[in-house]
Formats: sequence, C-alpha cells, structure tokens
Amino acid sequence: MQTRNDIVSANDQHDGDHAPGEHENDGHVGHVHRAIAPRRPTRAQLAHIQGWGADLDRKDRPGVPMERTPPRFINVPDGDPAPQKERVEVLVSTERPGRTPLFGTVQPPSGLSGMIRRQAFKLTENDVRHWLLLLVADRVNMVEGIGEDLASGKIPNVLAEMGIKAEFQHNKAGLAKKVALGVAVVGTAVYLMKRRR
Amino acid sequence: MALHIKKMTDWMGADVCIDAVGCEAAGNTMQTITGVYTMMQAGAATVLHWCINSVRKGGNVSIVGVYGPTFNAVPIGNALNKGLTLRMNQASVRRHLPRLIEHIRAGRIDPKAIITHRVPLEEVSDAYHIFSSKLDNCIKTILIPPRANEVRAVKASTAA
Repeated sequence: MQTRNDIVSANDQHDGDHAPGEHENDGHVGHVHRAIAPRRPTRAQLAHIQGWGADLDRKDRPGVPMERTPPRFINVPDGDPAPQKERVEVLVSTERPGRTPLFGTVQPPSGLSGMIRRQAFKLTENDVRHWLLLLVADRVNMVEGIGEDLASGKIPNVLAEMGIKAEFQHNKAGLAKKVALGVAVVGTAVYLMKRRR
Repeated sequence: MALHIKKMTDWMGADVCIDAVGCEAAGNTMQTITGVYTMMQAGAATVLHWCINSVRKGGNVSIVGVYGPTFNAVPIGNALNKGLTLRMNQASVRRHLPRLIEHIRAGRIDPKAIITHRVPLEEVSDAYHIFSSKLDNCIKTILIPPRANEVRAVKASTAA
C-alpha cells in the first residue's frame, strides 16, 4: 500500500505526539516522516464527526488509576458490610472458600433438579460435567414446572407461552413451515407405528 | 471469509479483528449444527473462527461478543502460529458508566434510538419470541409493567 502523502504531511504538524526537541532543526514544510503506514488522522481532520474528541485524553480517563473523581464515599463506613443471612439453601462453588456475598433466594434447589444441581456443585467449574449436569437440571426443572402447574389445576398453554401469536403476526411463512414439519414428523411416526402392527 | 479479507488487505490480513457477535453466530453450517442445534459445543463460535483466520500475523483479536460455559471449537493452533494477541472481557460497567452518562447528557449518544418495541408485561411470551427470532426488525424490547401509569416521580431522600 502506498503511503498516503496527504495524511503524512498533515500529520507533520505538532499534535503533541512528538517528544520535545525531536524536530528542532528540520523545516516543517515538505518534511516527510519515516511513516511507512498512514498515521492517525488529527483531531482537525475528524472534526466533522459529531462528538469526536469528546473523551478525555487517555491519561485522564476514569478507567486509569484515577478512577474515582469525585471520590465515592464521603464518610467511609467502617469494616465490611453485613453479610446476607442464609435462610434458604445456597449452592456454592468448590473453587473458592465461603460463599458469594450476594446470592438469590427465590428458587432454592428442590426436587429431582435440586438433587442434580447439588451433585453438579460437588464438581469444579473446570469439569465439563458440572455444566452438563446443570443443563440437565434445567431441563428437568422445566418438566417439574409443568408438573407443578398440572398439580395445581392449571393446564399450561404451551403454544401461547412459546409466542405463537407473534409468530402468526410477523412470520406467517415460518409458522406454516413449522406446522408442515410437525405434521410430517407426526404423520411419519403414526405411519411407522401402524405398519409395525 | 478469511479469503475475502485477505483480498481486501493486500494479502496481509486485518490488523485487528473484533468479534462482536458471540456464541449464537450464523454463517457456518457446521458450527451452527454442532453449537446451536445439537449443543455439542457452547454455541456457534463462527465469528471467532473467522477472526483468528483473517487477522494478520501478530495482530490483535478483541472479543466483545459473549460466550457461555463448556467449550467451543476454535483454531487455537492458528492463533499460536500467527502470534496473535487475544483480549476479551465483559463490559466493565463500573469503569465506563460515568463517562458514558456524560456522553448521553451532552447529547452525543441517544440510547432511546435502539428501542424498537414497547410491550406490556402480559405479552411477554410473544416479546421473547419476537426478540429471539428477530422478527419485525426487533432490536431492543421494553417491557411495561401493568401499573406503570400509576408511577409518580418520588424525590430521593437521604434520610436512612
């Protein structure tokens, strides 16, 4: 790729990137940098982009050691915050001591999926079986959820919960394809079962 | 894809490749079959595959797209042999949020522009389906709880 001479010569103006005293003796006009690749465009060349240059200079950015200006706490509280009380069962990772400072309490492990999850947490996260067991527990939990719905008398409307209304409104072709596929699969299954008799 | 980028960059490859897609990428049938449909790997790492193969030797690959647990099929041998630098992270929200809010207050970023759907909470199943199947040009959905119209602005108080 050819050196872009217009950018190179425009970048020749001091934009703060040169060390002080580096080009004292050179005339600036017509001086070509040792740039082999095109230099970054200057702020003047990019002024037409709205908001360009709005961020602070890299050494003043909030992410760099001066992260907190103004400082966060004016009265720094003493000690550590009070730990969350453990009222339900919490599964913790074996890779760290103790438990996490915050944990969810809405769905403690219960039933078959709970047993699978407790088993999964006996393994480390390094072990793929940990994650596979958690995935299986999620699937089992879904079936348990349907079981609970049926036990309390509410029949879940599976198609409505999967968004069939939206599919009908926005993607009729996709819905038709899925229905056709479902009919084909069920039809093949029925045919094969009838043939075996 | 790597061939296309090599042609565009005079056969060198790109200096930096950014994987902004993550684990549900489309574009490669085998990755989609093994990653999304049969779940033999954790999602389709298609774009990461493309990034490692398209970047020039000694280049950088930045991963901002999200991947999940278990593993993915990624050409790490190519990354080694090309001397790549792979850097990735979840967004450090605490670090960037003050600056981003300043940008919003100055009007340089408009976050409301990406909201495409406002859906009441009762229709959340349809909203989930619209978002996951990318129907109706959905980019960002907002859920409106049932009593949102009764909310009044309350002045913050420091009395503990």
